[in-house]
Amino acid sequence: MSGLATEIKPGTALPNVTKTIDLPRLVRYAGASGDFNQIHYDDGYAKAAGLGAVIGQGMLTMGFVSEAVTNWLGDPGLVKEITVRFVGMTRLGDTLTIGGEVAEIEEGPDGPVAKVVLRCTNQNGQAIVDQCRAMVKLAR
Amino acid sequence: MIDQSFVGYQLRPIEYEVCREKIREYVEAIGDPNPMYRDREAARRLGYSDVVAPPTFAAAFSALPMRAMMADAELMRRMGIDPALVVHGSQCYQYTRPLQAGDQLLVDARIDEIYQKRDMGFVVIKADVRDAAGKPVLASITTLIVRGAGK
Repeated sequence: MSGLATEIKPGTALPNVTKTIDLPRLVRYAGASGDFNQIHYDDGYAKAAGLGAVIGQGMLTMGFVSEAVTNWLGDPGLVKEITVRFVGMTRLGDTLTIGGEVAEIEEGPDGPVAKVVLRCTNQNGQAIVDQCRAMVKLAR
Repeated sequence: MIDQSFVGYQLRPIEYEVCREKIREYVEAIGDPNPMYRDREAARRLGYSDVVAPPTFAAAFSALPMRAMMADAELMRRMGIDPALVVHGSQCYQYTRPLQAGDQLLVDARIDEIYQKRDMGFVVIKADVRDAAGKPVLASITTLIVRGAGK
């Protein structure tokens, strides 16, 4: 997006993205990603695996985090790197809030690159991910 | 205890073609409204030749060699891993260029590291994804945690 680079500086916050975890979404994500592990849509199976009930896919959470970055940038092709460590589980009925801000901007070989630190928490304020960051180019 | 001799083990490479309808399924599951993933004209306005895939669409193919590995009961037994105890610890994607509909990809993965911490085993799998011309598209670094496999 034109003019974006001049608007982004350390401390610039991303607009929050809010997502809900429900069974239709987990089933659709299983189909879309090809990850058919039953712990993500079969309660009996998830209980037998010691999880109590169905849990959401970690990579679905990473998809939400990525969306917060790409829709802030406008151009998904600007993402150079995205990293997530999964520390919490998502459950049916959860509402997740994803946010973050620019930590620093460095000069790379193809122009400026922003390091964006990201968060994803559930409705109780519990972290679902940590050490979560994206490196994004400010112009393609 | 996971068998350390599997560090460097090459997984079977897998071919994958990025297609518009799979991108659509993916963004509808995520609930991402960006028109660049669905509408060729919106993608063209930003200089792309076809619809773009979101960065994490890589999940649809980067894990294929790893899933095949996990489904190989004999290999899992030799490695000392119970697939039922495996959880996804962390994920990193490094992109050389954006993913687009029509990309013909080759996913080439290997076991990069095996280590133990407390009562957990860690297996790091690195996948290099290249296009039909052999040019790099992205790299995926996946850390799997094997519960109870620390000793």
